[in-house]
Amino acid sequence: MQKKIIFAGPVGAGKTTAIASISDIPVVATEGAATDEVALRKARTTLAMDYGVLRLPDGGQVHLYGAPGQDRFDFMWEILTAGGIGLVLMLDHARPDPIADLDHYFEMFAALIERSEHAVVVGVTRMDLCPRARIDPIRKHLLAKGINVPVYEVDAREREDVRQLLLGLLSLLDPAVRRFR
Amino acid sequence: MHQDLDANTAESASVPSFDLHHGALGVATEAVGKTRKAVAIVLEGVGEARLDPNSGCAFWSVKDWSVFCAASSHDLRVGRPVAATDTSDRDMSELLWCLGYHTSAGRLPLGVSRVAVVKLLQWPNLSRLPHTPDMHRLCALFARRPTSLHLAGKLLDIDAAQIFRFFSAAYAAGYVSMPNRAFGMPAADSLTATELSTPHSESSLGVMLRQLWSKMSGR
Repeated sequence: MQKKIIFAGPVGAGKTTAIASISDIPVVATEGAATDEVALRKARTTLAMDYGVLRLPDGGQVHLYGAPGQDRFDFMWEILTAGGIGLVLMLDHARPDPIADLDHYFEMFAALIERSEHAVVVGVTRMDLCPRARIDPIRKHLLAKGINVPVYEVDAREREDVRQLLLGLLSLLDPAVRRFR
Repeated sequence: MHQDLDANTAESASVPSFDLHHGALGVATEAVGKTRKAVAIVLEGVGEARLDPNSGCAFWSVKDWSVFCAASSHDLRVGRPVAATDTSDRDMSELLWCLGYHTSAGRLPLGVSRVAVVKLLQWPNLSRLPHTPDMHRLCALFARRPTSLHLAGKLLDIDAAQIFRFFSAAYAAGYVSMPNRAFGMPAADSLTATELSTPHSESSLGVMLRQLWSKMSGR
């Protein structure tokens, strides 16, 4: 089965952009014109999924899948996560309630999170648009649930930021870390 | 935020160490832990940092962190901040991480033993803080189970200087606790020599993860 890293999160959080920033191939995007309330934010939106690849020295590949953000495509999420080794959850700090978004996507992707033993990182975008923005409330919210995972401030357009997200995810998956409980 | 440290032990005497109360780091930690008053720290021509323990906000602009953090208290200008906190301010713990990271230069705080057990309370915002790629792995390990600095190095094959720098930054920022401190003695790690030495064959997933790590970390 393909080894996948799943990018999930609300519309406009930067999933497509993040995959494009890090992928070794041009992203295969299934976009269309936004017709619902999303049109107020952007002209185009992901309809099915985004696809990118990270190529490995031995010829292997790690597949990057971006799940569509709108809830009406949630039937896609279970299909996409089959074979997923970890989750990159992108949150848009400029949305009205990023913590509600966090809870929603943790619930929607609970099976993957549990199967991967909490191999999930959170990337918080658009913090430059919010005066006095802090990631601490998001981090504290997760800690209150007993979840201690990376929560990083990122600009999805910056390859370096997306690289940090993947390093965080890979460290959670590191066999040397997981070897001992 | 900061627990008291033991007096020097024979173990810690052999580890390169530094004084947490020195320089800019000392001024900052005193403001956070004791006076609880906003403070500005300036080294002319090098940089400035200001923090407010009450709001939890900080601002910094430093051209050369190694010079800034090596400066003695005599060389620093310390006083009440002139400017109020504004929207460019960041979380105060991030400034403390930077001060701890650069003051350490690969050393441990005085009084901390390398066999002291450490637990990560929260991940640092590594995308915006000085760090090395292996510090992600240290966070993952210390979050997963309390472990000694010494054992962490063995498990993850990370050199002591990196581990000490990581600990110093995380400790200054309040991101770690030391569960055995109440007893004043380092707790023995529960892993046996047999567990440590038992070889583990690498799965295909492990091979993939190792290659991907090398690709992402640039090594």
